[in-house]
Amino acid sequence: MDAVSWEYWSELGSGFVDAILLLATGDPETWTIIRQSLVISITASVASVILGVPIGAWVAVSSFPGRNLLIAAFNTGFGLPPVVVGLILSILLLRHGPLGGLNLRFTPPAMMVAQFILCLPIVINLTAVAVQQLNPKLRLQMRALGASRSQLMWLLGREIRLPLLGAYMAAFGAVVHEVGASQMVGGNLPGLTRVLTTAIVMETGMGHYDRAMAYGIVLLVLVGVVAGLLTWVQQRDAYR
Amino acid sequence: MTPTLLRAEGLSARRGDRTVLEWCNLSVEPGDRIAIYGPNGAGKSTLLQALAGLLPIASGIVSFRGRALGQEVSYLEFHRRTAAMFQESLLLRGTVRHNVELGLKLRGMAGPERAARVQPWLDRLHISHLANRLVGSLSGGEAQRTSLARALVLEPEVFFLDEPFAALDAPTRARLAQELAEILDGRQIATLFVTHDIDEAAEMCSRCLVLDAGRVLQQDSMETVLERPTSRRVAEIIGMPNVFEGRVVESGPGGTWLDWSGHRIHTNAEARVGVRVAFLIRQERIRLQTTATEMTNHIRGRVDDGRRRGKSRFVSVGIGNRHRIEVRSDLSDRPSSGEEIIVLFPPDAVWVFPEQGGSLTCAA
Repeated sequence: MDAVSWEYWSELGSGFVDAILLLATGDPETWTIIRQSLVISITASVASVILGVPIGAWVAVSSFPGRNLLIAAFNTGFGLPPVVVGLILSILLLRHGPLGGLNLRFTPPAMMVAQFILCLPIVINLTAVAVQQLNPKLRLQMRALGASRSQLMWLLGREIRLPLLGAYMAAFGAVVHEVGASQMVGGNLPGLTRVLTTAIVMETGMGHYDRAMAYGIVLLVLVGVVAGLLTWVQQRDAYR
Repeated sequence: MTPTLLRAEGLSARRGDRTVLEWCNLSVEPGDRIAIYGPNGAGKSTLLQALAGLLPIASGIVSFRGRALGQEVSYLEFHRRTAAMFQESLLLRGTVRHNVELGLKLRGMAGPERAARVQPWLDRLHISHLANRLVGSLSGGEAQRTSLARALVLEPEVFFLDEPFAALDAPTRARLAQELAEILDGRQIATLFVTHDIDEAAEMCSRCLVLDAGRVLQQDSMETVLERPTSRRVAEIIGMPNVFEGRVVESGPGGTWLDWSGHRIHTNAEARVGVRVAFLIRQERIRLQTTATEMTNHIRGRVDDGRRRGKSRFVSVGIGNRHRIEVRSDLSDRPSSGEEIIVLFPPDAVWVFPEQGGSLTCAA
C-alpha cells in the first residue's frame, strides 16, 4: 500500500470514528438534523397513509369510467422524479406564485408537502393492490355476518394490515432518503430545514466526511430498522 | 296471520348488462329446507345472494316477515337475523375461536356471554380442540366446520348456503352434509341450499327449485321433482336418462299406450290420442331379464356396454339401431356386452311430460 493510499484510508477511518463520537456524545447539531428528518418524513408519510389508504381502497372496489386512467396516473406517480416535484412546488411557492401568499418556501411544511406528494401514489397503489388481492366474497361474508359499514372497513383493513404496513414502510423509506425535492423547497437551512440527506450533500461538498458519514450511518440504521420491523411483522403473521 | 318469513316476488337480477335471473317468486317458511338446484351458470348463486340481500336486484321485491328488504327492514337488521355460508370458508386471520365469535362480536355481545354461546357449537361440530389454532393451519373440512359454527352460533332465522361442501372430498362432504341435516332437523331454521349435486339436495332438503339459464323451471317438493319432472330439460338437469318421444295411440280406463319406434309402451299417465309426447322411463324401475315375461312393458334389446359409477353398475341396452336405455343394476347383475336381453318396466315407471320441451315459470 503506497503513502497516498495509507493517508486516504487513515483519514477515512478517523472520519468514521469521529462520526460515531458525534452520535454517541449527542452533538446538538447532528441530533437536530436527525430530529428534523424524522419529524418531516414521518409527518409526510403518515399524512399520505391517512389520505392514500381510503383512496386506494376506493379505487380497488369501485367501477367507474376512467378508473384505469386514474390507476395509470397513480402508477406514473410511483416513479415521480423528486427534483420535478421540487421544481413545481418551488415555482408554486415563489413569492408571486399562486401559493406564494402561504409563505411556505424554505420551511419544514413545504418539505412535508413535497414528501407527501412523493409518497401518496405509493400508498394508493400498494393499498389498491392489497384490497384487490382480498377474496371479493370476503366482503359478502362479512356483510352476511352482520357487519356494519364501519365494521366492514375495520375487518377488511385488519385483513390487509401487513400490506398496509408495507405500504407505509415503502412511503417512509422513499422520502427519508430523498434529497432533490427537500433541497429545492427546504433550502437546507440549519436547525430548520436541514435534514440528513441535504446535510450529507452539503458536508461532503465541504469535505467534512466525519459529519457526512455520521448522517449516512443514521440513514442506514433507519433503513435497517424499517426493514427489520417489516420482516418481524411478516414472520409473525406468516401463518395467521 | 303471521307474515311469510321470506318472500321473493318477481325477482330479477343482472350482472353487468346481462340478466342472470328472471322473474322468480318464492316463499320460505320457518323450518323449510329448499334446494336451489341447477347446472353451472344457471343463476343459483345469484338467486341466493339476491335473497340474502347481498346482491342488488334489478326488479321485484324481497320481504322478510312481511317487511320489504332495504325499505321497511334495513339490510343490516336482516343480516343480523340471518346467516350465510359459501363454498370457500372465508375465515379471517386469527384463531378458530376468534372466527366463530366474530358475528356475536359484531352484534356487540359481551365476552362471557359470547364464550358461553360459542362453546356448545365448537363441541357440536367437533372443533373444540382446534379453538386456539390459527385458521391458516386448518384442513378444508376443519375450515368449513369453523365456518358452519360461525353461522350457526348466530341462531339465524334463515340460513343461506352456497355449495358449502362442494370443495371437499367425498367422504368429508357426506359427513358434513349429514351432520348439518341432523342439526337442522331439530330446529326451525329456514335453509336455502345451493347445490349442483342432486343426491346432496335430496338428502338435505324437502323442497327443490330447479333453475336453468336464470329461469325457474320447476319448484316442488323434492319427491315431486325427482318423480315427476315437468319438462325434458328438468329431467336432463337432474340427471335422468331414458327420455324419449312417442305418439299416443290409445287411451282409456286401463291406461295410455304410446307408440315408440314400433314398440307399445303402457303408462298410467293420461294423454290425448294422436299427440306426440315426451316420456321418461325411470331408470331405477327398470329390470333386465334374459327370458320373456308377462309384464306389460318388455322390450328386447342388446347389451352395449356396462360401467360402474360409485356403488352401482350402469348397463346401456341398445333398442334397435336408434335408441338406448340406461339401466342401473346391482353389482352382482352383470350381463355381458353383446348379450340379448329383455328390458322390463311397469306402467307406473313411465312418466309423460305435461308439456313437451316446455318449462314452467316459477310457481308461487
